[in-house]
Amino acid sequence: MKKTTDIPRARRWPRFRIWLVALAGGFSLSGCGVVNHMIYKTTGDVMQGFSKEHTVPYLLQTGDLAMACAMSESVQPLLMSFGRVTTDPDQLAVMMSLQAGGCAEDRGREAELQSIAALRARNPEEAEDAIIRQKRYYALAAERYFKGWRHFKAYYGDPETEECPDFDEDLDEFIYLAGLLSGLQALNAEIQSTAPIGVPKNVGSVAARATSCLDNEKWWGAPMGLRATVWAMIPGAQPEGEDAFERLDASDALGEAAGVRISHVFHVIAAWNKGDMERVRAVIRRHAEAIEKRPPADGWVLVDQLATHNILAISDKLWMENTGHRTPMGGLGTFWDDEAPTGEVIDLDSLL
Amino acid sequence: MKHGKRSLAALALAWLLSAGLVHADTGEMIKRSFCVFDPIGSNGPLFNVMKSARPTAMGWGVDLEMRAYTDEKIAAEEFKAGQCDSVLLTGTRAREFNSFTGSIEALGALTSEPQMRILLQTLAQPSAASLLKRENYEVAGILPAGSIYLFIRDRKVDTVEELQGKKIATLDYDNAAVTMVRHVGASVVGANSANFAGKFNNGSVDLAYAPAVAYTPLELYKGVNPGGGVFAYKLAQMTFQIIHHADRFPEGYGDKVRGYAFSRVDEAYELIKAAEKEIPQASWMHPTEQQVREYDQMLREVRLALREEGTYDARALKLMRAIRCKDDPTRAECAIAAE
Repeated sequence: MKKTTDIPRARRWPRFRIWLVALAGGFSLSGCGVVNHMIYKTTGDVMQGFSKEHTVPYLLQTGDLAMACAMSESVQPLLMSFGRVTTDPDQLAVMMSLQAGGCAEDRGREAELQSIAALRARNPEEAEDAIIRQKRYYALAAERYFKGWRHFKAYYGDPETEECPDFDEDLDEFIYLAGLLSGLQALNAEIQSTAPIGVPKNVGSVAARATSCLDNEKWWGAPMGLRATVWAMIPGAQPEGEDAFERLDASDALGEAAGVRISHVFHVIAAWNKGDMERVRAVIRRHAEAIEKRPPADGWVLVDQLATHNILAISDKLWMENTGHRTPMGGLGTFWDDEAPTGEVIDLDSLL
Repeated sequence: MKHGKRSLAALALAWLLSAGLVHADTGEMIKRSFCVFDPIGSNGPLFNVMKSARPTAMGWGVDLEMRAYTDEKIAAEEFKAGQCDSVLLTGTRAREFNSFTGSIEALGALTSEPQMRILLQTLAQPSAASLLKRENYEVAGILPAGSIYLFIRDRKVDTVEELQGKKIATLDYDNAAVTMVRHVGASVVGANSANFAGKFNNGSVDLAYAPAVAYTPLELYKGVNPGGGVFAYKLAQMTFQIIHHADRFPEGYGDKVRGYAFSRVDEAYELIKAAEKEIPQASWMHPTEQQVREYDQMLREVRLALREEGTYDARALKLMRAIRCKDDPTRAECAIAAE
């Protein structure tokens, strides 16, 4: 104790000052590097690793699509910013962009329902405004999906020029499927927006071919569902001897057996595009029955919910066009012109 | 006070009249079908653009019921049979309903965007109405789809002489295209919009012709690469045309739709330019000036022959010659009045 107090104040300060200057100098020369490389990079790596290992699987097990949508929109900038200090989180970006694109598309669909209702009410101004809003949302959706497609290519390589990637784990395969879906959705959303977003017009065909990198059975028929939908939509894309709708039927069966019924969405889109409304209704009915019969597969609840959400959106469009309101509660799989159920009755004449 | 009463009465009368008009407007709303050819279907770009016009048409008293057709032939037939009140077709298909506007796609008749714009502006004048109506068919809008180019699997085929014996995917319902292919000594391989790209890409034909907007979606680069190219000579200007049965629509509706279609021309050209940019520079094959002059001359001869046999409308060819000469008065043909 005495020792320290013994040192005259004037002598203690210069020593401390030298140490401080050295420290400041050290920081100014390498401090940012330390912070960047030690703290930020580590945090970035941890966040990315945690998100992939835990957040994504957790999210896939939940069934709250609205919450998943809100999370993707709000957390994506934070997660993507880690790309500034460590490797780009391309895989996460694929998932987040697909979800965030879906959020924008949902708003676009809402606006579309409003435009349909306004046209039914013969209110052209309201319809026009709703169509403009619909297109704006679809343009935003296209940009988000397209971003997902670019990150997909950055991580897995260009499927047109490179071999199928070696997948380390199931989630890598699933994110590959999500990337292909992002590409197809980007093109579709761009067309709906009628705005030039810059999505390559061959992305549908490229994504369709790349589905052959995935095991169709393992992924609930979704890879073939996607491929067959492109066959049904792009002139001349269907190989000779193939039948897109037969393939879609087979994919549906796989999805139903697995409890992840995403193939129904592809099927209903392809049928709608062809104007085959009987088939559209049949697939919607089939989906409603399937989800009634069997709960979603463990670990993939969100994907199955997403399928139902999309099927409901198409059902809503049909209901709105024909009745002025969307699908009634609990009414998925039914239609306004269904015959009333008949059953045994008691003749009331004897009572009256 | 008296003055006040009078203005109140006038106001009430005006209100009554306007209420009457509004009532008449909604009362007169008619439902009409609009059959749209879109090679993709109801998720396709053409159908989506046309769908956006529904509120505008409703503002003019017509509630359009939209139907997408992936087969243009069926759309044209259903329109002809009266099952569609209006239809959107390519200019070539539209020829059977109006030979004047059906001749806009005449071989070599218009060679650039500025020329096409002069034509569209000219036809947007009210005085053009008689040219746009034949019997009960009225052309209610024309939209540009861009220049038609020749896609070649082997870039060594770069002169007319080398086309001899080569197989060309040809829209066999298009008399003009069949005549042209035979004129250069090539052989016609019948095709349609759904299968021509497949035939070109798998090598069952040596050449195909299409607008640039088909290049990426139909993956024509698969046939062009590695040894082929896109011949940078504008064979014709493709269009989409809206035609309707005039007596099924209100008076003046055609004029309004034409005005609306004309207002979308810039948008169409943006898409066309973006599509042309997607063709890589290295794929373009540029003809020499001498070749361009020779091809111009050859197409003119074919046009005149097709005029004589009734495929092309003489007035349309005359108008398009005037447009070419307005655009470039130094053209050799401007000194002679052959068209």
